[in-house]
Amino acid sequence: MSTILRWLDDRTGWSGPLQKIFRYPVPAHAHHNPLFSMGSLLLVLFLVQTLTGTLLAFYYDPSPEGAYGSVDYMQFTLPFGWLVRGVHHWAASAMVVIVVLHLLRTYLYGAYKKPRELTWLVGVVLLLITVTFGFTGYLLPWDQKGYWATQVGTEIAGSVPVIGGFLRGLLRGGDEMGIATLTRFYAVHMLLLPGAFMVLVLAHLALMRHHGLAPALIKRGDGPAKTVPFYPTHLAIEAGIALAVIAGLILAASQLPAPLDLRADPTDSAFVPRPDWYFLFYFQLLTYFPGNLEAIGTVAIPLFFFGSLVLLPFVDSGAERRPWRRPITSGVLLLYAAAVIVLTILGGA
Amino acid sequence: MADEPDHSDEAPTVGRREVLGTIGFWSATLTAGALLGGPSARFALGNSLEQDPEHWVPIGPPDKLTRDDFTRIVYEFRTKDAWREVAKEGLIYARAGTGGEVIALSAVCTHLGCNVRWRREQSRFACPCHAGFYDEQGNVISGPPPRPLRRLETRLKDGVIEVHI
Repeated sequence: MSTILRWLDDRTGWSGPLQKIFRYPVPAHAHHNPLFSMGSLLLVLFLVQTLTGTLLAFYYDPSPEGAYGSVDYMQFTLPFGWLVRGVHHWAASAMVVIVVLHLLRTYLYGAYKKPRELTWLVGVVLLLITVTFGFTGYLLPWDQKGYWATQVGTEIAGSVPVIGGFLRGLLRGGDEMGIATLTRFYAVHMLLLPGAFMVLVLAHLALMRHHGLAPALIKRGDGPAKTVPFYPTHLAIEAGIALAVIAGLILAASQLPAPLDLRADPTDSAFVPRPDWYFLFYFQLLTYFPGNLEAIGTVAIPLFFFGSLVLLPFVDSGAERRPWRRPITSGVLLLYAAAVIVLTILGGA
Repeated sequence: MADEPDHSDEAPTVGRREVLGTIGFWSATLTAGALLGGPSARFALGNSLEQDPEHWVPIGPPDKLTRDDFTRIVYEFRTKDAWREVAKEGLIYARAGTGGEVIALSAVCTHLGCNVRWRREQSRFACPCHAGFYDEQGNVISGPPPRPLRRLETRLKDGVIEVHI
């Protein structure tokens, strides 16, 4: 075995970079705090989605005539279809929860400050991609929920001033929802977004390793900060967390199967479309802006929300990182969190 | 020598953490891999190992066939293919035998599955892919095919010939 590894190493020179990646010293404050494992947990969840998504693509039939039947076949006929589709469904929700925890930790620890502004910005784009995965994913079964959520979602794009009609047509691949809508959502969901996600995750990780993790908020002792090796000590903790989450996903899939509504019916007037829980706040927000004010809810507020995330490292550029010494940024965070929670509760009621 | 600090129980502590870490990492990773890997492999396998259901397919009345030549027949039947109801098509060659029986041969070459062609002037079937040749009974004359053409079971039902696909 060692002869084969040496032969490969002589020809690839991989041991150097691998040593650098796996022998990286992890600061003790990050090793002992599970909030610092959210990034790698997201990577594990992305791998879970890649595996289950690839398996679903083995059988998925991307046409309005075949999509529903193929998803029904996977869910109810194929062995372990309930598990593969259930894990894919619940891991999507888990990714949203973990990405928010990851963002909250970075925000509260002021880890977006100089020199880590770009790491933060790449993370904001990754957050957007995670949400877009959800939006493009739930049209694919071509059931009532997916159909009507996409109908509403593409109409939201249509409400953008000036270019709305163009955007709606671009998303639908035509004037109405149909074959071209489904195939482009499928292509975006399983080719474009994963590709962009992988490239940006690599950039995110490279930047994180380049700058190292932000130091502890409160320095203890005078000596150099204590560290543990990334492999195996820190990775053992991360693998344990990942295992617990994967077991939780399998349990969720077995107890709460991934939903599959009735086949999409464009003539149905009784169906009340409701998005997945992570879009409920946005769904509720839209009810407050009727008529001419619609674009405020559909475009202006989301733009302001993401714009403030983008501008954060440049607006809050002081050296202070302790959240209790940054009352404005901490207050804004509480305000945003309260608004999202309240709107989600109202939207779900 | 007695004044030197004793580190004898410090070094093994670091080693123990590494060993525990290695065991912890690999057990968690392999368990997670097995939890997802087993069901994933079974799901991917799907119905790959199942045989297609058999069908009796009508190909027409007996007077459609002659004794001196093969008739090229494209058959079609409706069946469920995984989640879709589809029309499946196939090609056979059939003729009447000297004793009144029906000789029906599958057109699928037994080498690599191309469709063979009947060459009446040479009284043989030729596979266009890799130059495999079969005689009128479907037996291999030359080329790479390992077996004769598959002879299909036939029956007469309500005045119509049916072949077993």
